[in-house]
Amino acid sequence: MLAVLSNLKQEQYGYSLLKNLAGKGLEVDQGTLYPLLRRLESQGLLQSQWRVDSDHPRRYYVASPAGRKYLERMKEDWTGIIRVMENILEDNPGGKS
Amino acid sequence: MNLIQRYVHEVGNHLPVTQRVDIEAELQSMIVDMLEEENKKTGQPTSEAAVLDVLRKLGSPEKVAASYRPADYLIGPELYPYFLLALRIGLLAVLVVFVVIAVVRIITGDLSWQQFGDGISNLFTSAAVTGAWIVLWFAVLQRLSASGKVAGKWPFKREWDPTTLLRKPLAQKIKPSTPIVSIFFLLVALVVFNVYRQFLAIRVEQGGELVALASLSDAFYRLLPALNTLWVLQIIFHLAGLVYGRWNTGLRLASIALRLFSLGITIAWLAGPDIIQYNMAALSSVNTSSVTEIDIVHWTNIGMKAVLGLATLGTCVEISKTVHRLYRDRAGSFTDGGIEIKGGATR
Repeated sequence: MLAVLSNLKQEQYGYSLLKNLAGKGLEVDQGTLYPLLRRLESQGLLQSQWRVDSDHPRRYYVASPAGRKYLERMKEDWTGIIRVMENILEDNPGGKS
Repeated sequence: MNLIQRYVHEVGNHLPVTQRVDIEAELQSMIVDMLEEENKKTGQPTSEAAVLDVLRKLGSPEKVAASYRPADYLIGPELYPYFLLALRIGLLAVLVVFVVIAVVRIITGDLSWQQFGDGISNLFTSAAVTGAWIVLWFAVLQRLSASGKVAGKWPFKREWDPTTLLRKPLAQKIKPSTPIVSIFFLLVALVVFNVYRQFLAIRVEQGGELVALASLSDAFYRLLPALNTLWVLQIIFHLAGLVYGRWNTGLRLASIALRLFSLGITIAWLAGPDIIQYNMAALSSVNTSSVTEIDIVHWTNIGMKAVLGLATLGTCVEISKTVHRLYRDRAGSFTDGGIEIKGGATR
């Protein structure tokens, strides 16, 4: 969710988002991403519209205002998790308790 | 209709009608995007092989449609404990009705082996139908719950309050062997005392044939209907114990009520005429002691009253123990600082 929302500050269609995430090292299955986009839209975190680009229509998604707020919260949570894990891993460098 | 359209159409067949058009359009768009990328890589126009490759990558229409649907339960985790409870109660009710009908027919002598076999078959059929109705009812509830129509109106939707644990009495386990053995002996008692009472006698040989020396008197059998009722209620009680598996307030109260009922019957025998009758002629023919037959009858009936008296006392002790356990189960819930458990599940 964090990856998807952070990449939808600018409008993108589903397949281009898929390629962008893959290009940044996050391989996501189409069967996972597209239903996720629909769920996020149903929760009001994304907005979408159909546009006819090139030769066929595409559905473009972008983070809604609520989605951007939620993204900021998720980024704080994620940063917190990283900090906690770094503390844990520092205390147990070899993985021993 | 080309292969892509057929594929999209097949996915749509597995989707809710309200979402079908939108998802089909998006799926079609995605497939075209995937083919365009493939064309750029190969430098070739779209071929059937490329289309097949893309569709294989996406997976079967059922799998794709399933990824768009939320987790679908027939009976979800929130409703499942209530479903199990309803199923237990329903099946117990079917079993109780069967047992009561069978017992009544045994007592009235209106039950052949074939009818008993038919009854067993009806028992399984009734249990299956009852189970099916309960599953259907809870499946409907699950649909209503998922649609939000009953949100906030059910106990499981409210926020859980830990203090409710303090209001629940402690539950102790019931070992399955106890009710099973009890039910067996109760059924034996029902059959013997109602159908084979002629065997409940001490017989002696007199003049080449067996005659009853001592048997249960009319004073005993006058209370047989009450005894039968008590035994049937005890069978139902033990069946409930098997179903619930743990003592609860209802079972403890039922236990007390049944013991009071039993106490009433015992006191009626104690206070009434002798429950053992003798065939004086047979008795005198076997009496080789110096004690008279009248004394033998008198003292054995005194002995029987003593046994009934002890039984009365024992029942009173059991009732007070059950009342104490009932009080302890509930009182233990309000111990300051938490729940006190004395030595685990003790009786």
